[in-house]
Amino acid sequence: MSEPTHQNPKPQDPAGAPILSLCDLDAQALDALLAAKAAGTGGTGGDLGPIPPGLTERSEKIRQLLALLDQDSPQDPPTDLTNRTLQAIRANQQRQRFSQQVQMLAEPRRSLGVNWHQLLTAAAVFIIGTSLLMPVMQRQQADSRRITGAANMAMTGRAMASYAAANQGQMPRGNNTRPGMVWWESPNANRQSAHSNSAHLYRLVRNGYIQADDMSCPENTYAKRTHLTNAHFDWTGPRAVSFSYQNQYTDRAIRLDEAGDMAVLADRNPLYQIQHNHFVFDQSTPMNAPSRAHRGTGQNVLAANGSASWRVLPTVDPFGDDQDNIWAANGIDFYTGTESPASPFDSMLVP
Amino acid sequence: MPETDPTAPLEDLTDEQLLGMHRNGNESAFEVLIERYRLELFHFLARFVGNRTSADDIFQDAFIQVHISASTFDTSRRFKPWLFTIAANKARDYLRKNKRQKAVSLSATIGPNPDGGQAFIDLMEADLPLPPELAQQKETGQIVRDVVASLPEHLREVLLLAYFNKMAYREIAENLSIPLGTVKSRLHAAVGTFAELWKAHAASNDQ
Repeated sequence: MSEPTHQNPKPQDPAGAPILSLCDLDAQALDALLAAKAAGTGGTGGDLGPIPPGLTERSEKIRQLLALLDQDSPQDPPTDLTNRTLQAIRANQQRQRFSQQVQMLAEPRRSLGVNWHQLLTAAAVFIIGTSLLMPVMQRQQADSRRITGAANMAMTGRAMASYAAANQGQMPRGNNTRPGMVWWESPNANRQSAHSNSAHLYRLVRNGYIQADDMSCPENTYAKRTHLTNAHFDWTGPRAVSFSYQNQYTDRAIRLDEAGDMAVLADRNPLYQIQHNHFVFDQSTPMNAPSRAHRGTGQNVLAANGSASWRVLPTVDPFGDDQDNIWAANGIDFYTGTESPASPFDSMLVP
Repeated sequence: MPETDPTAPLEDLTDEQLLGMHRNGNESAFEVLIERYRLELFHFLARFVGNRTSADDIFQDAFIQVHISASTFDTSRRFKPWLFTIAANKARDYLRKNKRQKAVSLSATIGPNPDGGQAFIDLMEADLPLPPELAQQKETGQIVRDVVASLPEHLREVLLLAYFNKMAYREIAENLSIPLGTVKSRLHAAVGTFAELWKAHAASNDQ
């Protein structure tokens, strides 16, 4: 046996086996033979392609060498290999389906994208945030309603001034105002001869000085349910009346311009409860209790001079001599619906 | 992919058409495809891993993988190289796990040695015992099997694909994701090393 033509040391793997490459001419012959074989021009099975010109001898040598490979003919595979492969594929499909089902059952929360800890944290933040924000929002809404009520009251004051200008300076006041008459009967929008104090105030609507909706407090949800016009004579019932008006059942009507800072209109008087659609005097309520219209925090009050203001206490001091309770007549602690102010300038705002 | 004639027998369809039908739920098409490659792929695997039982297992694994990845196959390309790429990858994984390498390991390299030279063999000068001298020897097949098995895995793979599976160099390069020049150099090394090992085996048998 001859040695390889080149004397360079042979590359070896760690196990010591030699790695030899073909010399250039052998490599060319091999490439040509295998190219022809791949192209299908070299016959079938283990046959190689045609021998390249000029490399006949080498090509024959390579052909003989590679023919050795054909000596190793592996036995054919079992005939049931195809069926077993199909069965393995079906088994694999079942395993995958089962695995997916197990995964879905084991991790049902994954579909939410969050875990319970995150969910609870978010809920806690929401509850705490809401509990902090709700009072603030409620307070802001109450402030807004209070301001709107004051604006409506000021609008009523302007209407009242216009009315006075056209009626010898008097506040709205109809007939049948003799002291001792009942003034707290339930308002009736269609009854001309009213026995309610609010019917006198309604004259502003009837005579076109103001819309009924504008003469209301936003806190009074009943007021918005009525559809009153200047064809009516009063509100539709005790709950529909938002404001309490200066009791007009007196001996004489006073001029608006002589009343100064006297209170003539305010949110509903708290001394009178509504029972069975009628007003009833509530002895248990202190005389200086604020109106319930704004949850007992105070009331908007309209002075005869047209200024509307928010007051925590139900008192005014129009003439600078004494505090005057706007709900009650001076010296009277019990009411039957027939009482009158102690004097023309004694504020007594009643439904 | 060419349009499939629904009336044509499955056996007359191309590999790519059969795979397309399989993707549409036709199991018979896949069965025809498996049967079509039963002999060729099995023989390749048996020669590659040197073990019929393992070749049987790898054959099934390869087609399971084909089934799983069928939706990703570009049917404008050829199916056979894709199948052999999958099968060869499975076979390499098997060899790696089972340390089946014999005399020459995967770490063997073809190219300049540490001294800057490269070893070559000239087949015209090498005294190779070739058929018909050995044609009558019954043990020739076993010796060839041993010699092929002792080739480094990356050389054996290229030799089998080129010789038995008649793949062009370019196809082999594409399948194994290696440069065309590397395919050539590996093939030259595979044949050269095979010749050297064959000569050594033959010489030891003569003694």
